[in-house]
Parts: sequence; C-alpha cells; structure tokens
Amino acid sequence: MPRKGKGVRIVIVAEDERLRIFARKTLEAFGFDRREIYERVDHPKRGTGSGKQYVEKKYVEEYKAYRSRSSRGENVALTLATDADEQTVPDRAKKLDQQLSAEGLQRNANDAVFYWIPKWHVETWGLYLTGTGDVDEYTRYKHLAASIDWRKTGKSFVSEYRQFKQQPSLKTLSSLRIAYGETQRLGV
Amino acid sequence: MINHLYIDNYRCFTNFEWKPGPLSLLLGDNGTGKSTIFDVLETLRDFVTNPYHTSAAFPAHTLTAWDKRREQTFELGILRNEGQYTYRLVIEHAEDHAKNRIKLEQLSGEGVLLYQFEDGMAHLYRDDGTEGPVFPFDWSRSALGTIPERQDNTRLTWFRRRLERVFALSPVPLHMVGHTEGEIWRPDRRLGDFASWLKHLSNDMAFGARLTEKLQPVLDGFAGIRFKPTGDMAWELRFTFDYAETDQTNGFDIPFGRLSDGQRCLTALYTALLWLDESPGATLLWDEPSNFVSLREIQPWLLDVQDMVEEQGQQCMFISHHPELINALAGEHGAYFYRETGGPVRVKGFEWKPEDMSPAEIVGRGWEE
Repeated sequence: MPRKGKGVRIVIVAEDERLRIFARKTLEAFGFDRREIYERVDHPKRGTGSGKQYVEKKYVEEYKAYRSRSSRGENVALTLATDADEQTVPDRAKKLDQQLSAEGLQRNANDAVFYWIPKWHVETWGLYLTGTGDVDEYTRYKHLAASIDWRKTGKSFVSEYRQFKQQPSLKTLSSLRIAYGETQRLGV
Repeated sequence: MINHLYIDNYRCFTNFEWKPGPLSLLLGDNGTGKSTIFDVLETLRDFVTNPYHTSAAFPAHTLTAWDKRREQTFELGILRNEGQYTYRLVIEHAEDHAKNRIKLEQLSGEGVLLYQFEDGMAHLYRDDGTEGPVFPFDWSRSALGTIPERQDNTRLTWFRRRLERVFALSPVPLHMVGHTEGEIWRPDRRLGDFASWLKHLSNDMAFGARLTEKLQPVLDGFAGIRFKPTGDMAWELRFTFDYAETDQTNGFDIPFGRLSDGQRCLTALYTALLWLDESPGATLLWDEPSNFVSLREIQPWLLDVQDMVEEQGQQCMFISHHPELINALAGEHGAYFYRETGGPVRVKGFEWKPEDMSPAEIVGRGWEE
C-alpha cells in the first residue's frame, strides 16, 4: 500500500470529471489523504466523445512515470478510470493494455497500476453502490446522475470491496467484481 | 449564485453581458477587464449594503473613455433556488462630470418588483408584489441598505444579505500584518486586516481547530495559532510550531508577520476556504489565488473548492495566469475576456479540445482566440 508522506503517491487518469471525482473519493475512503493523490485534470468535457482517447494517450505517459518512480523504490500507484460503454469490461481493459504494448511496455502482475471500468458508465456503479433501486449492467443510467449521492459511492465501494475480499459474492455487478480484483493491486 | 452581470459605460465595458456559472476562471490578456469585474461586484455590494455615495462609487473617471454618453448602467442577476433576482442601477452624470446621481434603481425577485427608486422617490413593494410605502430619498445613495427587515419584505432583505456575502480577495503578503485591534467580519481585498478577520472567525473554537487541521500538512511543524494580548484591545497573531528532534519536541511560536509570503498566502487560502464552507450561498472572488504559493499546494486547495461548489452550492470566481489553475479549470469553467482593437471588453467560453495541447499551452501561445 502506498505509504503516507508529503509527495503524491497515486495519480488518477480519468476520462471525465465524474469518473475523476469518483476515483478520488474512493481513494479517500480507502484512507488516502487528498494530498497523496494527484488528479490529471486536463481531461475533456463530458460528452465530447474524446475521453477514451485521452485516457489511452495519457496512460502511456503516466505508466512510464510510474515505472520510473517505482524503479527507484518509491511506493507509487496509478489509477485509470474509464467507462466501458458498449464494450465489455475485459475488451476495454485489453484496449488499455494495447496502448502499452504498442510502446513495448507491459503492465506487470505486481504493478500498482489498476483499472476501474464501469459497464456503460460510472452511474451504473453510483446507483448500485448507493442502493438506489435494482441495477443491472444492461440498462443505461446516465440520465439518473443527478439522483446519485456521489459522496456515498466511495465509502460504499470500500465497504463492498472489503466484504468481497472476505467472501466474493456473485450478486455484485460483474464490472465491480473485476474492479475489486484490480483494486488489490493497490495493496489495500 | 450570481448568474448574470451587465455593465455599460463603465471603464472598458460597453454593453457587456456575462453569465457566470458556479465556478469560473477568468482568462485573458492584461487589461481585458478581469479585475474590473471584481471591482464592479464589490462596488455594487458596497453601494447596496453600505451608505456609499454615488460620487465615491462611480466617480466620473469610471465613465468609458471613448463614450460620450453620461449614463452608466449595471445589472446583477442572482439565482435563489429556482427564483431569479435582478438588480438594476442607472447612474446619471452631470454634463461637466462634477456630480452624479441615481437615475433609476430597481430590484425584482421571483417575478415581482420589490423596490424602485426614480425621480427622487423610493417605492417599496411587499413580497407578494403589492405596493408598500413611498418616501423621498437621497439621489446619491441607495435606500436599499436602510430598509429594516420585516415579515413582508423577506425577499428584499434576502437579496441584501446575499450581496453582503460577496467577498473579493487579492492578498498582498507584505500588507498582511499580524497586529489587530479588533475584529472584522469581512476583510479588505488586500487582506491587510487578515489578523482581525481571523480573530473574528476564531471566536468559533471549531473554526480554529479546523484551520489547524488544514494547515498542519501544509506548513511543516505547524501546531496552532494564538492571539497574544499586547495591550488594551490589541493582539498579535502568532503561529506555534513543533520542531521535532530525535529525542524531544521543541515548541516555539513566531509572529504571523515573520512567516514567509507563501506561508501567509497559504494561511489566507485555507482561512477563506473554511469561511466559504461555513457561508452557504456565498461568492468568493479571488484574484490570483496561486500567487506566492508553491506548485504542489495548488491542486489540494482547488479540489477542496471544487467539492464545495459542487456539493454545497457556493460560488467561486478566480482570475489566474497560473498553468496549474488554467489546466484544472479552463476546459470546463474558463471565461475568456478579450478586447477587439483596444475597444470594449467581450467575453466568451474558453474553447478547448483535448486532442489539442494543454489549455495552459494554448494560453501561453496566445492561441485561445
């Protein structure tokens, strides 16, 4: 787990503001101080359709920075938050991996580099984690964003993650199960 | 939230209209009127809420240099939940510019007229729109600030209180002294009376504790603040630090004035942040919040502000030329101020596509047009 200290320990690359805030609040709920987290804020506006390319482009840049710092023994981490939209979560993850392989790089099993990829979009997780009715991964919920209490989602993610680690449940959304597996790379 | 501003025939503003959102970053070259926006908001606030004379608030030199008209017009729109409030003020200058006076002053809210001053007569209207008292009033001052709160004028007095909570800051560390002889609830723009403001805020013990908590990760070894009496009704703001050696901790305190410029500004940033947190519906205007502050400190503060704006409804407007702030805010919240061939100020949204270079790079190259 990245240690607490003065410098930034975790970098967030997200495809839009909503995902970025979700990622930060979740990391804060894991106990990281705001000052340990650095957010790439130069992402596009939501709805412009270019967020995915942004994440893919920045991933390579930030992965190289991650490797450079971690090779010096620094305990750093990198979070990528991107919607799956119409793709499957594994396909979206594969697309991210391909960005690295195109540069001759590869995400290693012990890298603290993890993907948070909600099916369709982060509202799916937002609704599920705040218990706002039945949620599945076939329906699109983007129009319900305003009804979600985003302050609760991070805490709920952490609490579900901890339960999931003790006893994985098939009731959990499939994209969240994958995200919980990814989160273990953070060492929390 | 202030959601509309109209300025006509005031300094470099002619028929200017702007619709700010909850969070705005004012961008543009020097001399494009960004700071003047803050001046106008402060002036309107003081004119409505204080006994402020038209000759002091709108002196003749504020008339637009190239405009021959003698009337200045201001409109301020504030959104209250779903109800819109609009304040309109027309100042008329004498031909020789020696005097000026109110030609028209009007406040409407939630669909009804609440107040009107015209031809030397002030007309009050009740919350339900029915006509209230009519009385003669000074042509050179707003009567709005003198009207006592009553059960039937809650809309008018809400507007006045809302306007009082517009704070404009542009700290100058050299002016930020630690000596205070009392308390003030609103500081001056340069924060020369910062210690008096902090003394006022620290009356709430929880505020002091929260400020300490915020500043501890920011100022190495910071332990707390205290006001040391230096005479009758005089205090000195001092900062306490713990210097930890291997086997013991040595505490010491130093006057606020001996902190570095950056440390004083960081203290001001977090004080303002906590004030904002406790002031629902307030508007904070900050000219160059990143001045004197290390690069590392900008994002944590800014994210606190963004959370507050999003979750609690406060409003912030910043002016900045700092790349970190520009990259963080310009894409979503940038308002680009410009002047065509040295003429009146205009404003438009900052256009940026992520496949382009970063917003700060674009601004740095003057490609924002």
